[in-house]
Amino acid sequence: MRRRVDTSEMMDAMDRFHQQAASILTSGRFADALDLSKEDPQVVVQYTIPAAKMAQGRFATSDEPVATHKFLLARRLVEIGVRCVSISISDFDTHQGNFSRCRQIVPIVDFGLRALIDDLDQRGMLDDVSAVAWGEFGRTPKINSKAGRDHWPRVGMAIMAGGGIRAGQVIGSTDRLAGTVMSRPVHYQDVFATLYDNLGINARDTPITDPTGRPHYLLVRGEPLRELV
Amino acid sequence: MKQQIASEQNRRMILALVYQVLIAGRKRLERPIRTAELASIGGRPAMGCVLTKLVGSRQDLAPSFVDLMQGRPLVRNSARPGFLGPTYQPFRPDMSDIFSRPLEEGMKKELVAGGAGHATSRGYQ
Repeated sequence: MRRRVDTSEMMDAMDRFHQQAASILTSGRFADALDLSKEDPQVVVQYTIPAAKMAQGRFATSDEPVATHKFLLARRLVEIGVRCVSISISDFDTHQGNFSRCRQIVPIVDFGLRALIDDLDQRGMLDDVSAVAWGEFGRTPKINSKAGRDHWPRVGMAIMAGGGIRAGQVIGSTDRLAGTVMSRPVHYQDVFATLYDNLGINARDTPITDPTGRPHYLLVRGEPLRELV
Repeated sequence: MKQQIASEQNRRMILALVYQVLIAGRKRLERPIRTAELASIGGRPAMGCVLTKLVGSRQDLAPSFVDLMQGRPLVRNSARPGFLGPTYQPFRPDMSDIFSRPLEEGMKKELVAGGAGHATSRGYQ
């Protein structure tokens, strides 16, 4: 029993949780970062889709009421020292009604991402913060009987910004139906290698050890995207 | 007749060997590295968990990795510490007071099945 507890690192985890919980509670910075009422109202406006546009029904997702504020929350967390933040925008699993739904949810990502990048740029944080927006796969080129698009792992897409990369490029291409890669295929691990590279970490040479003491490299096949770094 | 059967068996065996060496072997080499390959020790850790391991500190005034995923992404895509263990799991505050995103019934069951490491700070919503 004792050995099992040790190998699962539960004891170390409890110790770490307690220490960090004490740090977080005593500083108060983390709780403040999660409180959007403490943000400059002018900045909140930048991250808020205007009411007139909302009334047109062009922006809608089940993350209510203001999904784009998730981007603002991410920036506030990074600002106080959080190294990695993941957020999600719902309803992209468009097995039905793909086109009508995408007309409402894609503009939310567009608006939120633009607000985040502009904000990071204005604060001088853009070269230090990498942003990536993606899903775990693409959608079928063939439209199904419910006007939906199903899972398509052969081709996907990602948007990257910040981190000092040479942005403003389109890397790789597909056929006209977005079904097959036509040029410059990029693997998910290449994107991770680029993100690690932005942080000064060589993912192919940096090992981490598992509970048995065996080292594993962070990535086994990815290379930083030469067009970006 | 017996000779014909024997030669047919030999032909099939040779073809099977050629398939194994040339085609199946090639498929194995091209197969992408999947998380499942390290499933026996917990799987590969997410990038945020790796950063906590490499550059995080117990004295940090904020968690190294904060996961704000909601809905299906919380259940199916939110980050796992993998073989690094619970020490390096992300801090996952419950965001339902700010962004209301109730889980569908099916997703609730899936979240519970995922275990405590998948829930938010408020538990299973």
